[in-house]
Order: sequence, then structure tokens, then C-alpha cells
Amino acid sequence: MKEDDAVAKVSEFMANLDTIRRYKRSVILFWKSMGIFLVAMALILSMEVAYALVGLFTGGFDVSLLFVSPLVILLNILFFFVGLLAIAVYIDQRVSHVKEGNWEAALSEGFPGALKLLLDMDWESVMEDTKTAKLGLMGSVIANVAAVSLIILFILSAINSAIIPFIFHIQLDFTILVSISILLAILQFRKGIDEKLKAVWGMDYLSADLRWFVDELKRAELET
Amino acid sequence: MSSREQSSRPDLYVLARIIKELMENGGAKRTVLATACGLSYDRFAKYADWMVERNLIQINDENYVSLTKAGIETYEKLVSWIIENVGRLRFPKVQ
Repeated sequence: MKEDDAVAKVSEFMANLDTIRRYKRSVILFWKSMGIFLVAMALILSMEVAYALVGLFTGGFDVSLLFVSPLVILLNILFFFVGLLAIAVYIDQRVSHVKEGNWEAALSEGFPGALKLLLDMDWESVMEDTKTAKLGLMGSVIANVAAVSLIILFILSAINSAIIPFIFHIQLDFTILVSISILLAILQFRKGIDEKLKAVWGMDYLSADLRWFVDELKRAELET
Repeated sequence: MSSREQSSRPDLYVLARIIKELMENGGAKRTVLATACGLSYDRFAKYADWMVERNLIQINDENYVSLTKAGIETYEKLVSWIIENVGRLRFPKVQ
């Protein structure tokens, strides 16, 4: 039945909009979480510096020892990676458990309900959401590559200082290590990056399509 | 009345509801139809007048409302428009 087809199309459309809104939400959550994380990191480092300064003025211990202490370095690294992981899990949980639109009730009314959803839609906000979702997708590609690059860089740095000098009697330059880390991270996520970049370009098409659709909808309304 | 209606343009949603109701039940008295569509009688009357003017519905002397061929065609055009145009939107596959 044609009416059912129209309702199904609008249902699919609304579900896709929900996905886009979830991406938008994840962008907002990401920046909020990163803000908290960076403040926490800054606080920890400040406390370490303050502790070192107290030691310096009271002559209690050698300040330089604090920043080369394996325990302190390890704790800082651990906090950094656990923090990033916590952010990723937090965003994933918050975004996947959120039901965006309450549009199923309207669709249960059939075609008139589907039409009402389209007529009452805040199209400017939909287009804004699409733009933000696009930025979110691009951001998630960069964040994924950056996070994995950091982990690889950490491992490579350890190998570069502990193993390579003993075997090859050389030490690789830090720039080379960074380049290798980024390259390996890109290779690791090649497929995911490719899909997300395609989706980013798809958002551009969608923005243009939505603009055209809204014009057509307004024209159809004016013709009544 | 909504701003759409105040500017003398009727709400497409209300028109669709009236036509759907008539398609499903064949026809009805004005008061029964207004109630079935969840509209106040005054509001329904304005829509009914507008639809009669455009030959979408007809009302006989006993206030019995029925759908015209043009009314059915208009509704079907609207349904086809949604299928065609919403279907043309290209949503990217995001995970």
C-alpha cells in the first residue's frame, strides 16, 4: 500500500535523523569531557609542581627526582590513558542509550502523522545538527588516530630507548617515531577511517538534499 | 488556529486527516467527521468550506460529507510526493 510506503520512508528518515543527532550529542559530550579531563590533568601536574616546590624550599628532597621518578611517570601515563578510555566509554554509554525522537507515536497515526512530522520539523536545527555531526565524524577520525598514535608512540619510545640501542647501536629521532606512530595508527584504522570519511562527504550531500527538500515542502504547502 | 491557517493557507496535516477519515469510512455527517478528526466544529467547518470550494469533498443537503474523485487524487498525489521526495534524500551510512 502506498500510504504504508510513505510512512516507512518517513520512519527511515526520522531514524537517520536520530543517528545524526546522536553524533551531534557525542561532539558536545566529547568537548565537555575533554574539558574536565584537561582540567584534571592540569590539577595533578600543578599538585606535583607544588609538591616539588615545597621540597625545594624546605630542602626535603631533590626536586629533579620527582619528575624522573618511574612511579610518578607511570601514574601520569596511567591517568592519561585511563582518562581517555573513560571518556570514550562515557560518551559511548550516554549516546547509545539515548532515544532522541519520540516520533513513533506520531507515525502510529499513519500518513497524516508522517506528514505532520515533516511539516512541524525545525529544518534549520536539522541542518545545524547535520553540520555538527559532520564535524563530530571528522573529530572522531582525528581523535581515534591521535589516541592510537600516542599508544604506539609510547611503545616505540620504550623500544627505542631500551632495545634498539643495544642491537643496532643507534637511536631513532623523535620525529621519525611520531611519523611511524601516525602511519601505523592510520593503517590500523584504514577501513574505519575510509567509512567515516565517506560518511563525512555523505553529510555534504545530505545538507544539499535537505535544503532542496525544505524548498519543495514549502512550495507544496504554498500550493494548497 | 495555527499561523499557517491564519494566513488563509490550511494545514496539510488537517486536510490529510479529513481525507483519510473519509477514505476509511466512506463518508460521514459533518459533526461525526469533526469529532473523528479531533477538530472543533467551527474549525472543521472552515476546512470543509475550503475543501468544497476546491471540489475535494461534497456535502449534501443532509450534511453528509463524502470524498470526490479529485479529493482522492489529491491525497494520492500527496502520498506519492512524500515517497518520491523523502526517498531522494541520501543519508550517509554512519556507525
